[in-house]
Amino acid sequence: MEKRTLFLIYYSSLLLFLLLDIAFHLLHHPEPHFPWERIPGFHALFGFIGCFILILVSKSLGHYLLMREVDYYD
Amino acid sequence: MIEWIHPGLILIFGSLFIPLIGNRRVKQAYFVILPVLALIDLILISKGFFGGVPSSHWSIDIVGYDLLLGRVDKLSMVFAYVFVIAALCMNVYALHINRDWEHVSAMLYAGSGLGVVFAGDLFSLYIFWEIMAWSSLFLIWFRGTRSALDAGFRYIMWHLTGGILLLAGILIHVQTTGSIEFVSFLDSWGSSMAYYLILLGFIINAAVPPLHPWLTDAYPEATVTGAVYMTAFTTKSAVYVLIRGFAGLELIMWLGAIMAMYGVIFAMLQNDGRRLLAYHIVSQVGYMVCGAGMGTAMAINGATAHAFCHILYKALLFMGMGAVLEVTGRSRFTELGGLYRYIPRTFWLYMIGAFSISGFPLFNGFVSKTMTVEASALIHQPIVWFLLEGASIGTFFCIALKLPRNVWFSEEQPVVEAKEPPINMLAGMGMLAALCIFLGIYPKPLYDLLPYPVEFVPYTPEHVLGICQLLFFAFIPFWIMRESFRGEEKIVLDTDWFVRKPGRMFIAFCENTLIKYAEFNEKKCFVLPALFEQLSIHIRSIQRGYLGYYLQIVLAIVMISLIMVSIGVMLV
Repeated sequence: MEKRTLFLIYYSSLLLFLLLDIAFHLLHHPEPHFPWERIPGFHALFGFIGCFILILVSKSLGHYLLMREVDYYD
Repeated sequence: MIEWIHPGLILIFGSLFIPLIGNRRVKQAYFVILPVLALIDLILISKGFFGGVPSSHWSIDIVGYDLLLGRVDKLSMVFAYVFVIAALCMNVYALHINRDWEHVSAMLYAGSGLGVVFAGDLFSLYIFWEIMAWSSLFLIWFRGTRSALDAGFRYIMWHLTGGILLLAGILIHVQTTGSIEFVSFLDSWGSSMAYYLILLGFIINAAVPPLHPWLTDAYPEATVTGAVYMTAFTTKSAVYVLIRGFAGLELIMWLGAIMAMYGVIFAMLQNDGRRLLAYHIVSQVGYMVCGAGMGTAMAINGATAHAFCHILYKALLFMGMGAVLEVTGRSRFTELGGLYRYIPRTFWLYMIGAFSISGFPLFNGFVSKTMTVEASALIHQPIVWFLLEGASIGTFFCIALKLPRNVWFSEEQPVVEAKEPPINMLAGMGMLAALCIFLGIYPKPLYDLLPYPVEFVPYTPEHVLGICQLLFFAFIPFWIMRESFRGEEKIVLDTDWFVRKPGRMFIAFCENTLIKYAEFNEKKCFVLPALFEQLSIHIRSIQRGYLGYYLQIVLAIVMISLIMVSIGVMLV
């Protein structure tokens, strides 16, 4: 498959999940365990921002503190 | 009529005959039949052939203490099932290996894992615990490289420390309570030093940071097939004993949640494929330790189910990366890339494991991970929830995106020629992949095995939409920054720095002192140094450096102790 078609499928599935989630929140009012479960699309936001934060934390930990040359222990 | 047959002893005693069989085909058939026999035994046990579940078998009275080798209940059965099923798939994967003693140590390892799971008292638990540590050591040493030997030594040092702490705890406990029965310690937690020591022994094997570096240090150095065995038994039997002994202890809930995140953050920096996967063992075991710490029925179910699923998909992932190592001789991202053209089958089998560990719907990680995360929501622990849910973003990022891109894609041209691994390796992976998908689509057989009745429905719109949004949106940051995750030719320090650096300094100090002493002696009297030299040469010639030889000694000790126990069983 072409890279373009793959990305088209990917973007439309992003949209689809968001719309489904909004529809789900409008139609259905479960008793949530946490307040943020009331926000439609919360998981999308969490996945997006959480991933950036993870990258930031691990990269800065690695580069400023933990990464050493391969023969460090020899 | 036989009272009961211990499935672990089938593997342990059965492993003895592997080196005796001359014909290669017969040997291979025997190697596959061994876990099948254990599996048949387990099915007979759960069908009530030896008396119902729960029941107790093989109780031996030794100087006034009751050793109990066969405590059968739902919790021990679910772990035993997955151990045996995994051992079967791993044996198929390892069929092409010609090193008999490696097979022996693998079966000894799996069998002693089963021994831990069925142990109803603390002494037999401790014995199997130690056999597990020693037999797995050889799976590292058989790699034969200098770094594998070194990593093996560090590995056994950690486990000896853990074993001694455990033994000390057990002895104090027995001294104060007079009982060696292995039951929950939660009520007596904090009343004596013993429980801290026992917990320390357990969490060293569960690889809870900061006591985890033995795992991430040694697993990537083990043989291709040996590493696959190691993913299953040590950490998961530790999860089992944590559930059994410390379920509901809030401390380990927090340790587990932190552990899940810790493993993910360190995995992102790794350059070695198998080391990246090893950090994800730490992370995934975090979910289970956390579930054990929460202690509710759903959390225990979640931890157990996750251990079951984790063994299947993590072995599959290690098999996939191991296959790459087998066919290319490389496992570092900086030396790999573009392999999709040569080994697409390995890629797709690996990806089934990757989707499973990420918790995609229709794969088995989904039906177990959501249960543990939901359990944290039900007891209203937002921080735990955030750590667990956030760790699954990183899991997806590393295992389903970073690793496959660096190994199978990323370069226009393949960096090295390769062809698909032997058919038995693909078959072993295929069996696990089929199980991952089967349990993902139809989790009922798994849920029926769990210790508590399951009132949890995985396929609800909330769960499916939640995880799909989480993972699909986490792809965007990866794609933006994909070039910065190509792997760096660096190592990443971990908490073992605190042991290795001072240790090195201590040895350097001793060496310098000795050299000074020798120089002093040489000037004053030269008889002593010559004597020392002769003595050291003689001592060195005792050890021959042949691994099978050491393994035979270990095996002989294990066999003698087991035979003594068996004689005890017969006399009783």
